[in-house]
Amino acid sequence: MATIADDLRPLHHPKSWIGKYVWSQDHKVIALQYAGTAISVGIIALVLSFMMRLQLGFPGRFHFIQPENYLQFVTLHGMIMVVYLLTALLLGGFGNYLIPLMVGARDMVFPFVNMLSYWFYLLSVIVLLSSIFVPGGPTGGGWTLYPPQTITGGTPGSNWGIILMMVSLAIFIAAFTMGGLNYVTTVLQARTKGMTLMRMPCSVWGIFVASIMGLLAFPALFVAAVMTILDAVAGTSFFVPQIVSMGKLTQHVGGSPILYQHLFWFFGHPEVYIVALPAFGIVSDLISVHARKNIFGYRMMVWAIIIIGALSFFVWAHHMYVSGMNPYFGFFFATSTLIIAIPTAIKVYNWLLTLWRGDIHLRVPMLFAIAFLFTFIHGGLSGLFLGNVSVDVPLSDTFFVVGHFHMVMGVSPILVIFGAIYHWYPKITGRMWNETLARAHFWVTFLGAYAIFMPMHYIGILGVPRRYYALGETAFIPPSVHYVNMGITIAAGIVFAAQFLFFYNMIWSYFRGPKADPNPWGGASLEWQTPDTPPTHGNWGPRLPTVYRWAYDYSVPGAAHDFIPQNEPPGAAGSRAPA
Amino acid sequence: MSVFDTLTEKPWLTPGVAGAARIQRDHEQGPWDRGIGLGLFLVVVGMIFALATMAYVMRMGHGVPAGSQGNDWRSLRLPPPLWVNTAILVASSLAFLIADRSARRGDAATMRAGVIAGGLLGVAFLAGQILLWRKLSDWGYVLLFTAGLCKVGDPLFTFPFPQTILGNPALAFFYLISVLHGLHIVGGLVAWALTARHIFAGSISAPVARSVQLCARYWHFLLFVWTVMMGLFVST
Amino acid sequence: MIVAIVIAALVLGSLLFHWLSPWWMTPLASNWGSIDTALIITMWICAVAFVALNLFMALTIWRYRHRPGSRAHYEPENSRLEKRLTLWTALGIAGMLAPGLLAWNQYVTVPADAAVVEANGEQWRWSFRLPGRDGVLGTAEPARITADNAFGLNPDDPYGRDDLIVDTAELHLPVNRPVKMVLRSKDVLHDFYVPEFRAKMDLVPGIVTYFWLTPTQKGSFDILCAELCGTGHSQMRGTVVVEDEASYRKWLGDQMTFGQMMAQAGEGRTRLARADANPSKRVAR
Repeated sequence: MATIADDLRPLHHPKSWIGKYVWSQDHKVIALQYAGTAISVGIIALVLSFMMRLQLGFPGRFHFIQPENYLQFVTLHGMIMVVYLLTALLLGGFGNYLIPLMVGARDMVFPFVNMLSYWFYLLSVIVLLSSIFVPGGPTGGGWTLYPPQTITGGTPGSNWGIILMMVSLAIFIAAFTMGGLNYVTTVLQARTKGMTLMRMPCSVWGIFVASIMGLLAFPALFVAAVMTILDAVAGTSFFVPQIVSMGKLTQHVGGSPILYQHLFWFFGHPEVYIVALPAFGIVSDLISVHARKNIFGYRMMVWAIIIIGALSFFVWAHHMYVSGMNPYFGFFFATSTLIIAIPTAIKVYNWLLTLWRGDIHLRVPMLFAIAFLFTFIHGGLSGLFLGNVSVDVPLSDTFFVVGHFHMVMGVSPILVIFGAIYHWYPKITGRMWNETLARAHFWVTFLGAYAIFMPMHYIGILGVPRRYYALGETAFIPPSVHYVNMGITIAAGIVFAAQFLFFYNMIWSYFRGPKADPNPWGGASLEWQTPDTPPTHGNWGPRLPTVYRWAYDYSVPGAAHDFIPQNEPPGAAGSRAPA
Repeated sequence: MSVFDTLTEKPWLTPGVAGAARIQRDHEQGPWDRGIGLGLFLVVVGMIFALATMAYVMRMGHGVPAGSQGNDWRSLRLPPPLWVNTAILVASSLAFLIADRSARRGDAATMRAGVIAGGLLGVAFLAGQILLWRKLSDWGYVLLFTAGLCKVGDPLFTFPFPQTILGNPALAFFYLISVLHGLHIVGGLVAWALTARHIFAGSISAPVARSVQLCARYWHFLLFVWTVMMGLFVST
Repeated sequence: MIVAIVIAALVLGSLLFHWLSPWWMTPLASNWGSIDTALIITMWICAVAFVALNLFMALTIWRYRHRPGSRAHYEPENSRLEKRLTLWTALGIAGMLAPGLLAWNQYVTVPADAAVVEANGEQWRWSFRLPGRDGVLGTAEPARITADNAFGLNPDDPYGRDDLIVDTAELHLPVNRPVKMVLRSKDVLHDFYVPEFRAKMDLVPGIVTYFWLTPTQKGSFDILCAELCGTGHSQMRGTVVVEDEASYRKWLGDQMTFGQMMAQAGEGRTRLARADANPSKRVAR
């Protein structure tokens, strides 16, 4: 019989406060560090988006927003939200917290590398934010950072801003690689006894596949970043051809701007799914737990995650239909893009079929999951317009695109993130949040976000271009568009304000919230079965749990309760009779 | 059990730890083997070089379409020292191969010699590469030139290189790829140094043998990458 | 429970928004009705899916909301149902992909009789060039750009001599004649975008891109830049005037050829040089 001391030997036990909370190698602390940093930098991006809305809703009213500033806001907002918030929060935050708890491990396989991952991430954020303070300011080339404009005059931040952005991305990629290696190896190696791959919750599957995708996709961004830096400072011509910039002939010859776009989107499209797949996985678990029903078609859900992950490497050029690439590519990429809609649609059906004949508890996490389904259906369907090559031609670079991607990879994953935070908050902190505040937060966020992004589709169909500082006098744009822009800005202000309900609720409840039940929702998966709440260092006390069943034994006929924990042996009281 | 069988299992039908569920060892976890981690890392590194190769090929073909500014691609004449460096890298990889083999046989002395020779040859390769980069600039193959920034106003940096303007993109790729490769050699040398600290302790323990094996694997991979890249440069 | 009602209300609201909103495609002014058709077909298929899925969700939430004593049905999967749904989805997808690809096939196939017009982009203005009587554009490259030769044409290229240079942001096109828009950029990426024409394409420095259209409505339309090109992106505007053959001929007649421009510039320069050599005449300049 092993003693506690023997069992915990491989773990590095911190002695001091700093060792415990700053230079921590505990996956749970690292997860919170990741989440805290990501949310903080996300608040900056949120403020930036509101400034953009101020300019769009009330053009010219705010003198501190000049065209340069507007483009800088656009760029920083996009990059922070996609990379530094969503990727970092879903993989660095949720991935770190959930993987070891859900597969029954004491920690990540390489805790030291995991810690390094966070510190590299923090460094990348610091480098990114430092670009605000350099001469010329941060880059204003749009989050896609297309050369030549990002490194030539006429674009804000084409001196230092772009270089710091690229350096920051390179550091982020190093951080992600360290984290991603951990997530994948932990899932492959550190599953506890009985935890087969097909017994893992969908959350782990989503994070696992997204991590593999990240490991394969981020190198493209890395290569593009290094080559852009060389073009900017060393005078190479990877991406920049012979051009006359601001009346002056540069010394570049023969580079290919489209080459950059291929590299960028070879990263950029999988990146969409790197954000989406963890959200898909997490929302599957939210729906299943709160509907007291197993996720419908679990196998299909897992296969769909894998198929989407694989296919997403063959659709990147649907971002480039009007980029001037060989137009015949359009046939291939339109077909592959619309094919990827099929496994995605299957996921939607299975979420809905999980609800069907369920026992739906409309608690706050479930409300967010339902809101996710609604916005994801909307955003997913509007994506079919843009993937369908010829339909994309009039819509590309209009507000339709802005509406689409905010709905599908902005609002949807963020609703999942909110749902997930409310769902796991009692486990993470041991306390319960305030119900009223949470519901208020939900309604304003959901309805407000729909009010912001739904009309954008329509002004996009009208043809209003995106990334415009001001629409000016344009014959085809009726005055009503200016009013809807104003309305969107007001809605954005309200949604922005509502987020403070969330922050207040989270912080207040951490100190004053009522003590939470260790398993308040009756979850069957392993993370709800920890001996301590919140889980302590090493997660599992003296013995690792043994897993006897999949994560979705809800409402099993003949069972005493409407859920059977994963670590409950068959034949024990409450378990179902053999089929 | 194949991947296909694993992924088509119906997990709700088979509660218990029998059958498929018995793939995990019974004892407590850790410390972990680093083999899978290294394998994944090599995939990432491989991706970087594969994408750089794709970029090379696409850039090579760029400029051919009608109406463009003509193709500025000129193939590279690589200097002879490059072949010396390549030979050094092959020797380095061989030394690691010998070290790995002898570690498995339990031959501590040969293993030590192999590890040390392999690492030192790695250092020699790096030194050779640095000499090569300098040589290339002597020959007038200058990548970096002073008017680097293509914008109005003062350039950000002034490089201490002769102002020969040479826009040969193949050479730019050579610098990019060989420097990236060199950085990975540096990383490998760090791992080598960490391993080398443990190889002098009497007999060969299993973790040390594993470390040597993983070092060797990494080295073979870098040799493989280098060979492919050389093939690319020579053949185009 | 409220959420079920809200979801149903949002579906209804979205439909009302669709019918009542004043924002829809601008009146079509080119041959790209096929793009509009593909968009409408996509819209219908997506709308059916949107309404059906969300109303199903609202109904489900309403019907299976938790009540004391209720218990969920146990059903791990239903392969037949999943397969049938996959098939229906694939049919829907094929239904919107087919018209999309057909329209794209037209889009990439430039008719042989299309007249060539070059649009030039630079930060942050448009200019245009027509091939002149020989129907062929002369070669050009940024390295040749000077004050007199804003397009960087090769003066030794005989095809370029008769090219018409339109150094303003107003382009005229004859109605009902196919046009191949050839696109070049001097500096960064731009995008030639006329909402009423539907078609658009990036201008990429270093290469020549193109698309084609046939203007079908007379009138004057805005040209916008639809690819972020720097601080002045939103001010990069132009106008395209679609008119009948006679007015178009007249407009063509008013344009200057590259040869004439060079001659004028040459004359100007000689005069300048003469004036410099003879200070007494400088005032006359």
